[in-house]
Amino acid sequence: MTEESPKDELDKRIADAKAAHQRGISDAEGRAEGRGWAIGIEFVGAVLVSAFIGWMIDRFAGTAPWGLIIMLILGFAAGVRSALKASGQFDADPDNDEKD
Amino acid sequence: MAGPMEQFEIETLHPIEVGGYDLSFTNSALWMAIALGVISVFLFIGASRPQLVPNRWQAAVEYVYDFVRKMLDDNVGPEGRRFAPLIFAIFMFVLVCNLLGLIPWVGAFTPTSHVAVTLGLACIVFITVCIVGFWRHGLHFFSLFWPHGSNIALGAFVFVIEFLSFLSRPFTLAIRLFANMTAGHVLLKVFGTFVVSLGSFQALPYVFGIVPLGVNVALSALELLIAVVQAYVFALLASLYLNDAINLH
Repeated sequence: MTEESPKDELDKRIADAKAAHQRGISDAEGRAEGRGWAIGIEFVGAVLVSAFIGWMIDRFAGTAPWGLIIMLILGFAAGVRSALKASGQFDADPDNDEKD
Repeated sequence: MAGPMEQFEIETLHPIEVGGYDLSFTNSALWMAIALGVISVFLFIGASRPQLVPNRWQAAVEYVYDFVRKMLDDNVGPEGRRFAPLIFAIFMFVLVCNLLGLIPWVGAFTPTSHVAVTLGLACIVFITVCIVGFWRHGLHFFSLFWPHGSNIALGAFVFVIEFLSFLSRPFTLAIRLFANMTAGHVLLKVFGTFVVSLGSFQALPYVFGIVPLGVNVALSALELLIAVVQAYVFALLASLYLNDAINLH
């Protein structure tokens, strides 16, 4: 058994405190409720923005209702893509203990 | 009794009109100005007499700044450090607006519970990302949306979808902050009215009001957490978007 010098002990305590600090942040950010919100907002946001763009295209190009219909469908695809991206980020989080 | 949504009403404190536009000084503007004052005092006191071994104020300021700079280092890399002032400013503003809005009694108003404010902040981030992307990569910036190694037909389809998902970013960034702040404040107000209505039960006054009062105390702690976490998430997502513009993939 080697005797730990005071400096080694201090280094270890600093490392532990840093690790605890990191864990605290990702815990707070990754609460289940927050994740659900994040994914929902990503999906709804993409659909609404796309629908708005389609509506504007219709207004200025006079192509109603096709711009809105096509952009709404593309917006669904974009929303699913964003939601998958967001949930992929949560799965990649090493502190995520709800993953099976 | 005040309804739960009345706390979000904009009141004109000093009417100003410039060229037909209503630029009145409102309670929202007042609380943003107070937030600016609080941030200025915090930073000026901390940075007034810098020392090699920092005192408590200086250590607090350095801690917050290092936190933002480390977040940029981790998510963007060394190129991200030049954006530390922007992300730091946004982080501090959102954080202090969120926290000031939680102060009871003084009639505090939360500017970040309005889409106008959060969407403005999100647009600053989005426009910065676009300028940085086109500045550094020119039209090559669009390759961010192009899937690697696909044929033209499928690639064009995915390009449109990725582009729409990119355009929805400022919107989702703004809605996330706005929804969290609004929901929390409504919840606090709703349980606050429960305290009054249950506590005014004639046969056994005050007793039943204790339960929602306890819930409100716990909710206040939760709201404090959400106020800090949402400021952090806003700054984190802003740095992730900057990472896309700087490093493409």
